[in-house]
Amino acid sequence: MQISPKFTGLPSGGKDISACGISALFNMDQKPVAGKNIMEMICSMRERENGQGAGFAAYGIFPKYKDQYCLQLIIEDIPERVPTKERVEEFLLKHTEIVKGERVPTKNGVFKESPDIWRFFVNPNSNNGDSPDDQTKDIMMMINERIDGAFCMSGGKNMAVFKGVGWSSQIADFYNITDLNAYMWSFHSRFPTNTPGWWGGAHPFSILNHAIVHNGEITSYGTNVEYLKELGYVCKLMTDTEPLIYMFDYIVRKSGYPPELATQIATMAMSPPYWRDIERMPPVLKKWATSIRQTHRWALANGPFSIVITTDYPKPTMIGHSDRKKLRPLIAALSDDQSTFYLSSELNSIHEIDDTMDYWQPDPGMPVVATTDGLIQRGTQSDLEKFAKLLE
Amino acid sequence: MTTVKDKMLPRFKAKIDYETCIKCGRCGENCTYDAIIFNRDEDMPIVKSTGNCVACQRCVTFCPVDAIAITPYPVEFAPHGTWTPYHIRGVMEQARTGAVLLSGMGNDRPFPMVFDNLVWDACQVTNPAIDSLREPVETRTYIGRKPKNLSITKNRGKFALEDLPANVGISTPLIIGHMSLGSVSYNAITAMYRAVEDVGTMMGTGEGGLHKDHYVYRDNLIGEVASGRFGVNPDYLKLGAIEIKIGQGAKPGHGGQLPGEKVTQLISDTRGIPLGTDALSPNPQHDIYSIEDLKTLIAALHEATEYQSPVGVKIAAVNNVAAIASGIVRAGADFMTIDGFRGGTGAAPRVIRDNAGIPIELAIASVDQHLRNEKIRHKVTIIAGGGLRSSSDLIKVIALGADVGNIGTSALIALGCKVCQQCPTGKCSWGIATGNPVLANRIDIDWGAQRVSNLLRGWTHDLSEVLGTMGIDAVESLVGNRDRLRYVGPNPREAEILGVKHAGERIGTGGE
Amino acid sequence: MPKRIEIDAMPEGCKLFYRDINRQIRKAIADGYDHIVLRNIAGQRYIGAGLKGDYTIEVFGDAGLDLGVFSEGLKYIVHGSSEYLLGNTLNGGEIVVYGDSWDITGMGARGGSIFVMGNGGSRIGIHMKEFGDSRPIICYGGTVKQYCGEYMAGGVIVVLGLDFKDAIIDPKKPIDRDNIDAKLVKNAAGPIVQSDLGGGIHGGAIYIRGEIPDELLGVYAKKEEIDEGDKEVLEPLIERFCELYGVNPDFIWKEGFTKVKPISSRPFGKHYTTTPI
Repeated sequence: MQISPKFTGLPSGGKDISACGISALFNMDQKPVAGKNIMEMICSMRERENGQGAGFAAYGIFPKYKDQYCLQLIIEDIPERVPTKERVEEFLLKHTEIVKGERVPTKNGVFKESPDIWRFFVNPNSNNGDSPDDQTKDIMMMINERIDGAFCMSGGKNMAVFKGVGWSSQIADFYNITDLNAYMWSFHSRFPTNTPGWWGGAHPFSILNHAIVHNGEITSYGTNVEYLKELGYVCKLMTDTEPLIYMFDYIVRKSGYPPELATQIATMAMSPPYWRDIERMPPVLKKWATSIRQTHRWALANGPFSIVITTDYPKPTMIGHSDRKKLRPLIAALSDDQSTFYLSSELNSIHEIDDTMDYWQPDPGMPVVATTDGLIQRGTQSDLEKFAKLLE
Repeated sequence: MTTVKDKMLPRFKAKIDYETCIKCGRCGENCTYDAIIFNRDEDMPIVKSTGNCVACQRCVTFCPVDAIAITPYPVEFAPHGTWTPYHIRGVMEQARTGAVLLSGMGNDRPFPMVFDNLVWDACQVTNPAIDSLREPVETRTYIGRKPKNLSITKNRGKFALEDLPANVGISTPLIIGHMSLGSVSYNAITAMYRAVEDVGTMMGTGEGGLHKDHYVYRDNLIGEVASGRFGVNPDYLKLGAIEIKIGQGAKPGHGGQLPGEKVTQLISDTRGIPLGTDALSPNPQHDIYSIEDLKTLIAALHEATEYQSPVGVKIAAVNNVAAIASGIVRAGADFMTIDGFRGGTGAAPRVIRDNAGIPIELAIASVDQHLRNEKIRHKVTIIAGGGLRSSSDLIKVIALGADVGNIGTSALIALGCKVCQQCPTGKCSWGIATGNPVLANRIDIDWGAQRVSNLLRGWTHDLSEVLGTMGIDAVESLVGNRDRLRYVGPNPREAEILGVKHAGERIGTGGE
Repeated sequence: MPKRIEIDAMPEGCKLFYRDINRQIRKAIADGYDHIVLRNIAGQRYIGAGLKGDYTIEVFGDAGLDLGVFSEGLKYIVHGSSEYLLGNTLNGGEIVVYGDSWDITGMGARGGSIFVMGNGGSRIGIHMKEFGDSRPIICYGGTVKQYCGEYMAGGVIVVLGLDFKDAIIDPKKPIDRDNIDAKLVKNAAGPIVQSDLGGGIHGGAIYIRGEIPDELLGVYAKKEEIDEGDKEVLEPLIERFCELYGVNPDFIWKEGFTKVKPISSRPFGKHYTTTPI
């Protein structure tokens, strides 16, 4: 009988469903912000978690290795098997050049038991004509699928995901968040209906440089997963959130769409305007909206969600997005000096660290988007007019 | 030489309760099978030959005082587990005639119904059900080819989008399948055309050309190009969509023949063939002997239609349906119809109708999975039909992987059909499966159109309500969403092929 | 003579749990206080849940969701914004918010008034109902989003479409009505309601300041111009709004109102069949 790993093995309870807390902040000038800030934001929403998982994504934290992919892994040994870290290294050596491997500093005593956390900065071998991004994506998926006892939390450049099972304050403590400075952060705390003790199931979910935190349940999960199969992504983690970030990666990066449009196309595919609203659009926009809906019809993320997607592809970007029926909370805010953008499930979490009065609720289904160019979409219907101006 | 021993035993008994009967004569006027006649001399309806009764219910429906009862004929064959009336009667008829048994409608054998082994999921607590009456739940669907990605170019700082291949929008993922003028009457087909126009969906023309009166419905019609090529001309190719018919579920591998006596002036004009000649649809299309040939015909139709109409292919669900479907997509079809072994027909050899092909549920699941594995499912619209009896079958077939469901028999029931299976006789008392204009006029077109519209709308309402309870607000999110189905039947192998978990199993791997 | 008590929700920098806050509120009431001031509220939920009686609860900070849930007869004043589900299943009393309050305000309310200075989210006043003399009222100073008044069965929703942003003197401090410069209150830019307004409404009325395009109306909702009877409903309500937020009523009345009301009290009467099958 196979021994199922404790921290990295998939839970037996079935697909995870949770209602959660989300916080995110983004210094659009790319100035580092101390981890304490995001920690205070998420920890203020205690009612949105139950100690069954939390995690964060941080961007701009490895300036020294910013050109390498950082594979950040949860490692646990399996009795009577070669130590997991050695098996991971052996696998990586086959497919990549390892520039540096290091144990991620974690705090003892936060948890009674905890896995090892490792990271490897790698350059993928260019052996089969795939882009380095695609190779890294495949390496990450292969680790998660094939190497028992290892779970790759993230594999982007100059960013990483830190997560596990515990309260948000414990996870922040375990990973020494106060020692970290990042220009972009997202943090997630979970209130899952299942209680699987597996660390890989916490948010954020990440692929390449994108990370997602999610509050909601995706009723189109089956359809989305089948669609992703065609696009070359295998959903194995038994969570609604996984297909969302893969669909985002496909449309924003892999499809080769112009970077100026990619985010808009991805968010429109995932939460499209109703047909009745498309009917009323001016002709050019109508054609685009119709074509996006038809082409990416199975990328529609149905059911309640509010999500924050962070990425630095093609440039550092933070997206807040909710389902078009608006069944989960999400509040956006901008600091007085307009340098920092916030997203959170609740306003008090933003006010915990910034008493700005420029806060608002984005319109249902309309993404709010900030990049290093500033806040480019406030998440209102009029954003579509801006989008239309790019089109002919 | 025919003797009394050739007599086919009666199946039904029509009985008139003379105490209740008001002698209005309607039963006699309505019976087209010579079972009941009205005796003017005696001012009395009489059962002329109960053996002729087919249980079409026409007399019962029209009797204002409910004085008529149709029951199984009280003396049946001696019960026998193997030698059922179905077989004994078949042997008797073939012994009498030496001919092929002809039948109408769809398969009437009691094969296990896979649909009835499936149930679906609903929202509880972790996500809210949507109130479909008050909040949008979208059923709009597009038939046609979809690219993998949009094709975008940049000109002078602005972005231009290449047109998608032709797609035709329907308001609900529910269409009426192909039925030709000839297999059904002018009134019946006009009523159905008008209904699909009213609802904003589509119907197939069948292989019978298109009557000049019906060109007004062109945007709502899928023009069939089948082996007989009846009525196929440049105008016909300007319909909403074009579909090459390879086969149909009721008679896979079999063509068809409208006998000369049914080729009336109306049919002759519509199909473009001489009055009174047999209208033969050969078994194969003689320009399609292979998948490459299919590709050629699809390309020819694309050229002829200037790529303005999606071109599809209709096949019967047979053993190798998944691989065939894959070939069809690769041959360039924009959509395809898979017709399950319960699909209906105006006339088919009973031996084929009742035994050939496979159930649509298994066929669709298999086609959808295979096309996913081949990474080509997104290109094509899949229409599934063959025995969709209610909105629940429609919902299940979509969750198993179809984009659209098509109905035939259900639409005919809306027009009065009671599934008596006498279609090939041309005597249809309801005026549906008949070329007789007097009988056809039994369908008031306005009434019929309203009934069929109502049916399409009713199922669409059902679909919206169910989507709402699943927390889904657009039907595309149900397509292939097997995750939301569960199996409650006796056969785990069946569940496996369907790709559906057993009831009680949770989403995910269940601890493997 | 009202007896006033202050409760600090952040004693020694430590955020009080909602249960402790409500426990303190109940104790204060038992001790004879009828005006309870909560300082440093930061998103705590269920404030004043299920209370009944003539008490005032004043909140400084951002209230959490479900403020005043199930309560009857109290007056709540929020100096800050409130999360969603404000006044959920409210039975009476008055809630006044000097800020925004987002989704599902006044869900299923059967009585009481809710005034919000700023903007709302989706499903404002969903399934409010009236019975006898009890008639719930919701009035938003700003804008609201989709499904406002969805399957509303009674009561009144008013959306004024005002923009207070330039009128607030010091945005860093809790909004104080005496410091609102009424002259700087503007009309909000753009549509002040979104789609599916009054979808499935079968009782009560929604009053929107200004015109609304037909396409925003929900299923079985229709719009009309207001008549004298409607003015009688609106006048005291707007007077109260102006009194609370220091706005000149003339400015509000400068623009007309559109009334949204049910087409029928049984809009889906034909949606289900009745014949035995």
